[in-house]
Amino acid sequence: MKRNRPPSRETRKVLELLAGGGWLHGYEMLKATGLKSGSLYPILMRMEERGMVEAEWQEPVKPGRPARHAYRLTPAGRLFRAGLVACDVTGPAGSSAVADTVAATGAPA
Amino acid sequence: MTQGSPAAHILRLAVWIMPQKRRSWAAAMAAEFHHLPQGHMAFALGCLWSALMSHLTSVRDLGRFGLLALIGLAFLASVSGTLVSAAVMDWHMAQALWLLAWIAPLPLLLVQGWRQSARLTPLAAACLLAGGIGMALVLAFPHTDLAQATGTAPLVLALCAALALAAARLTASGGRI
Repeated sequence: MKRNRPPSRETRKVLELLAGGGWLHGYEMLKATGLKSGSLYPILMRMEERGMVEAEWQEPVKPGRPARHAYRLTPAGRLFRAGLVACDVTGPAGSSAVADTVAATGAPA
Repeated sequence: MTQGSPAAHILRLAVWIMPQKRRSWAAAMAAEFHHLPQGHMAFALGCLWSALMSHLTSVRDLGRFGLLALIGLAFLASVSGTLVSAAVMDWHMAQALWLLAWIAPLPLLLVQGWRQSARLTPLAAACLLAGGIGMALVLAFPHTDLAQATGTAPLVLALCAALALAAARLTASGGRI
């Protein structure tokens, strides 16, 4: 049985950062959120498994370095984040918005 | 950062430990490692933690029978470990070691539970409690017939069951992202 819970503070940080749009690399996200790699990567893994984040390999800017993994929110991730914002604005009454979003995206919180 | 640095070794260990289905993530972390200007050791340790946690998470994919098989295997390993350790050392010492084995994973589970705001199932909590009390009694009265007769194996079974259940519960789909 799936239960819907609000995402953790760390996940919200990642969501907010990725909501800015564009692709971000792991190091940029670590710097911006202040999270440790042991927190960031498991969050990204779970978000990707739930269809909220997509990842792609990008060629390095500096030659001689390996390709990098970059991440951005999917439309489902954006919808999920919008639901959370709506919930923050409207309080408990807005929780139905999150529930609707979760139902629409299939992304459990 | 050289390939032979301690941080690079830890990262390779993390890549090696990562479950097969998340190998692409291990590759992503390994690639990002080469782009870090600093903090390689902290990054590598975080990757190792992620790899270990990925195994804990993968318990949920086992299903009911897989989980039972895991518990069975852990039980067999524990019983054989108990018997071997009891054969080569004092029985009381062997039990003390198993108590350590009992206690050691608890901080990991508690941290994981706290991070995911998850709760142990009542059954897992009961197993942990019963096992802990049982072990404490066996250690407190090591020379009684009961302690000699029961030994550690049944308690280790409780440990294995509790850990498996707790791991499955903590990483169940209801856990937070």
